[in-house]
This record gives sequence, C-alpha cells and structure tokens, in this order.
Amino acid sequence: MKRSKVRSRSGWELVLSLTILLCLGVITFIYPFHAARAESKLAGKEVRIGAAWGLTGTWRDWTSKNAIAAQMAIEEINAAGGIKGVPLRIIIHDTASKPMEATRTVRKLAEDDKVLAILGPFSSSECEVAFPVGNKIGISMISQASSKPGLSKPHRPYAFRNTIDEIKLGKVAVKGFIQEYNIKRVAVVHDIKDAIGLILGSKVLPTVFKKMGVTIVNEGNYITFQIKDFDFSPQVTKLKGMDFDGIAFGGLYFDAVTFVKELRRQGLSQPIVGGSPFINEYFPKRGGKAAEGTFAPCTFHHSIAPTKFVTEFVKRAKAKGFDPPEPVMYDNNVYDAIYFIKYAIEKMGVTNRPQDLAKDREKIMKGLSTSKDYRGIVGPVAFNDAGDADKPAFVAEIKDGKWFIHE
Amino acid sequence: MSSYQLDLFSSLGINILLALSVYCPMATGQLSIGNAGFMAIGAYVSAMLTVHVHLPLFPSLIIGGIAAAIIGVLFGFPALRLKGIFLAMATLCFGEIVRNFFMNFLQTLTGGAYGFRGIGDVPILISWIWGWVALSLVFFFFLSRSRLGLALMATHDDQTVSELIGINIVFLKVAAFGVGAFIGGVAGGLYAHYYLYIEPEFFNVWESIFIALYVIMGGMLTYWGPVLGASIFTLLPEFLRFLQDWRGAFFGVVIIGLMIARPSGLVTREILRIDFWIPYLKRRKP
Repeated sequence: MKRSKVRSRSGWELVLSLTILLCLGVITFIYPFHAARAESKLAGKEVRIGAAWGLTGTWRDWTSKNAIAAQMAIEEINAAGGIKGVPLRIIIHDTASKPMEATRTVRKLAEDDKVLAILGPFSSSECEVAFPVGNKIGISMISQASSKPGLSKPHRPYAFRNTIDEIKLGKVAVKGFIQEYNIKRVAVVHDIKDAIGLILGSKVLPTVFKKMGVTIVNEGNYITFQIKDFDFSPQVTKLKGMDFDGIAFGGLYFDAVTFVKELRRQGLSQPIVGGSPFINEYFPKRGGKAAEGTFAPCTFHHSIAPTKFVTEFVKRAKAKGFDPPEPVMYDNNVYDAIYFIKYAIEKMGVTNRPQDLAKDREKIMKGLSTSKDYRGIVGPVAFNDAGDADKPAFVAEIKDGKWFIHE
Repeated sequence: MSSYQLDLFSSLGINILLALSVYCPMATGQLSIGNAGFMAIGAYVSAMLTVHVHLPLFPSLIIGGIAAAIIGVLFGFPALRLKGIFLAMATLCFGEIVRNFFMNFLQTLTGGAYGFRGIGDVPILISWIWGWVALSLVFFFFLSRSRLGLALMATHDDQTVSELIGINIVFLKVAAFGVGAFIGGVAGGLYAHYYLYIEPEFFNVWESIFIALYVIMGGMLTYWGPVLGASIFTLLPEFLRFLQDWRGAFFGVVIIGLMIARPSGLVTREILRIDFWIPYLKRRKP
C-alpha cells in the first residue's frame, strides 16, 4: 500500500515534470518565431532618411538629376512593400551649395527631422565641414560625388563616400591611356582657380604618371589656365614647343572642350586624359571630332547598366526636361546608396523606434561599414576603412561622339 | 536650444559682422564687393597662428583682423581714385586676387586648394561670436553719436561739400576701409575656428556679393541696416525650407519686392527718428 502510494506520487511527479518540460519546450520553440514576427515589421509609420544637397547654386545641375534617381529608388522600394513593411520616405533639404548651410542642413535633418541616415552632401567643400558634424552627432552620411583624396578618413566612422578617390580613379584611367596610346612622355595642363582642377593637374595626375614610369616634359613648369577661359591659344602655343605623346589635363569638362578644340585647330593631335570631372555627356557633344579619343575614369556608364534602370531613368529625366537624359555615375551613386541603407537597416535589426534612434543610427553605420556582399547596379559596392567605396572603376573613352567604356 | 538653432545663430552672428565690415566703407559712399577677401585674410592668418604658432584664440583673431586692416588701408589709397561701378569692380578683383593667392601660394602652410585642416584644437563658442557682434554694435553706437559719425554721414551725402567744410575725407575713406577690413578679418577668424576647416573656395565672389547685399538690402545709412539685412538673408531661407526647389526663387521674389518697396534699404535714417512716425501715430487717433 505504502509502495503503491509512492509509485503513484512518482507517477504524478513524472507527468508534472513532462508537462513542465513540454511547456518549456513549446515556449522555447515558439518564442523565436514570435519574436521574429514581432521584429519582422519595423515600428512607426515611415522610415525616414534625409538628403543634404545643393538644390540651388553651383551643384544644382547634378543634384536635380540625382533627385530623380532618389525618387525612383524610393518608389521602387515602397512598391515592393517598403522596408520590413514600413514605407521609406526621403526628406531633402537644400544646402544652397554652401558649406555653411551644409552643416546646418545636416543638423536639421539629424535633430529636427530625426532621420536614420543622410545622403550627401554633394561636393568636397560641403563634406569637409558637414562630415565632422555628422560624425559628432553619430549619423551616417553618404556623399555621391566628393572625390578629394583622403577626405572621409578623418571623420570616420560615420563619414562615407560612394565614390572612389581621384588618385585611385586616376590610376585606372592613366593605365588605360598609356596602354592605348603607348605614352612615354606627357605634358601637364591644369586649372589654377578651380580646386578640383588644381588638385588633379598639380598633384594627382603627375604623381600617377610618374609612378607608371612616364616622363613629364614640363615638370615644375606646368601649363596653367583659369576656369572658363575662352582662349586657350597661349597654352597650346607653349605646348607646340614641347615633344610629348599625350596630355594630362586637370580641369572641368567645359574647359577641356575649349582646350581640345584649340589643340586640334593648331594642328596638335596628341590625345588627352583627365579625371572624373570629364564625365559629362556635353563633352563629346560640344567637343565633336576634336574630343575623339579622350580618356577619363568613371564608376558607371549607362551602357553597362541594366536596361530597366536606364529606361525608367531616361523616361523620368525626359519628363523633367533633361537633355541628355541618360543617368551619370552620381545618379547611380545615389540610387545605390539608398538601397545600401535599406540593406543595412534590414541586416542589422534596426527597430525604427524613436527611443532607439541613436542605436539604430549606429547599427546602420556598422551595417554600411562591415557589409561586403551588397551588390549595386553595375557591381559589388563596399565601404573600405577610409569610408570610400570599393567598387569597379572603368576607363571611359569618347568614341563616335559619345562616352563609351574602353575595352 | 538644439545644435541646429545654435548653428543658425552662430552663422547669423558671423554674417552680421561681415555686413558691418561692408557697412564701414559704404558709410563713406564706397561700394565694396570684395570683402570675402578680408574675411579670407583674417581666417587664414588667425588659423595659421593657432595651428602653427599655437597662439591662443583671442590674440590670433586680433592679429588676423589687423592683417586684414593693413591690407584694407593699403587698398583704400588707390581706391580713393575710383568711384561707383569702377570701385565695385576693383574691390571684386581684390577679393579674387586674395582667393587665388591662398589657392596658389603658401601651400605648405595653408594647404592650398586642398584646404586648411586641423584647426580643431581651438573650439569656439557661440558667445565668442556674439561677444564680437556686441562689441562692434557698441562701437558703431558711439561712432554714430560722435563728431566723427557726423563727418562720415556728411562724406556719404556730399563729398565736395564735406571737403569744403574742412572734413579730411581721404583719412575718413581710408580709415573706413581699414576698420571694415578689421571687422571682416575678425569675422573670418571666427568662421575658421567655428567650422574648423577653410579653403579658398569659401571666399569666392558669391560670398562677397552676398555680404554686400546684406547691407544694400538692410540699408546702408545706419548700422542697424546691415544687422537687419544679414538677419533676413540668414534666417528667411531657413523659414522657407518647406518650399524645397522653389525656395531660391521665392527668396529672390521677396528680395525684389523689398527693393521696390524700400529702394534705400529697409532701415533708413528717417525711420529711426521719432518725427517720422508722428504723422502715422496721429492718423490713428480719432
């Protein structure tokens, strides 16, 4: 009798233990799914990102086209269900292309609009003052155009540029240029008034050429001009007295057009190479035959982009009156940056809850810094330790009145 | 106050100082549209002193201002021979010469086109900027109530008559350029140490034109004009942010409208006098 009581008690205990274990098992099994379901949708009515671009002033020509790429990416993302079920919204503020306003715009987007990440600013001048502000606040900023060497590195970890710096770009273009034309001696011509032209012509291109064993025929005595000079005959006359195979040109595309026309008019046939400021569809259009064979580096060209992207972009750009309407690399950089932010939000478990704003911004920064498997429109995109993009760079050449990727 | 609002008020303070730097020569009838040049001299000199010589901020700002003032006085002498549009063109060219100088010379010290980094060791507070604004306003307050202020007003209104009554207009005009350049230089120094980075492109022709517009818009006859002009040019675009792409266009329309309504600027000598308002006040009475 005593033994059976013991048996029955131990039976009950066994049943009870099994029930508890079963319950624990069920809870353990179900909880992750429940938690995952809870996390599958972000909090809030919208996911906000900001853009600090010079919609007025110097950079308007580029940024107004960039806005098309941004709108296109946002609409595509929202049509596919947003980010984890929550629609994405972009708040664009104008920096008036001024550094002073760029810092203020970043502060406004970060503190008043409480965005998760910021696209821009466009230029290196704006980035120089806005990046430290963003870095101090702790919000990721991705510039689509700044390529001044070493700019983002001092403002890490929150400063990013979806561009390659001009030294790396220069290496690619110069290598292609040397191989194509068998360059042994090169003459340097550069702008002394515009910063990017001066940097390219006085530092970047000569350094790259020298590293590749090419002699600079006017070393220490580079030929100079001022941005928007309308007469390049003195510069070309000086060049006529030199013996060289090619020209390294530090300047913007419109000056290169005037220069190359004068070069051909005076009977010089040497090809020219420049930096990314050459990449504009107006160069071959306005330069005509004189511009044929010109080399420059780029990270995107519409001829190698998916047709769907190019067709949709061209349709939207035409509707807004852009001619030529094809997307350029800065448009691609903005489009890719938005998808990269989306990728980081999804990958890093951003909650989008107001109380988690600082943590969410940090997660996005880490997502952008560490992700090496994100793929952009024309190839993989990743940010290196300096905050610049590691992505394919191409050599572009003007052929038959258009820019093409040089094979 | 959020850091956005602090930033807005800091740039407002700097812009008021820049406007006062243009007001000085304008008070003697000299239109200067090259004051970004003086701003650049002050910015670069003070930044070089704090970064390379490790001098404290205050003496660096003063020396930056004095350097700009010396150049201002030197420029003031040849400028005496020029009037109206020719003086405007000369000052414009001066601004461009200074910008190109810092772009192409002293590159090892200033970074040239790469820009001047590393100013971060000397942080600046908004109180510094507004302290200088207050100091400048006190200076102009006492100046406007002095015999020198009357002489300035007379020089602005009629130079020939001023000379006939014995005012030394050569001294006044050159001194006005010098004082204006000093204030511009100090503003440049504050700008450099607030934004912690400068490059020649910051001091381009557009910056000079905007500074001159603060004064033309606000009124060039009293020192309150530049203050109001700088405030409108700094604050109004911020309030118009909701207009997005149309912000610049709308701001332009507002400026044109104000210029039509108040061609001598918003603040004139008359409206600061009580007798200007008496007829309006009387009309209101039944």
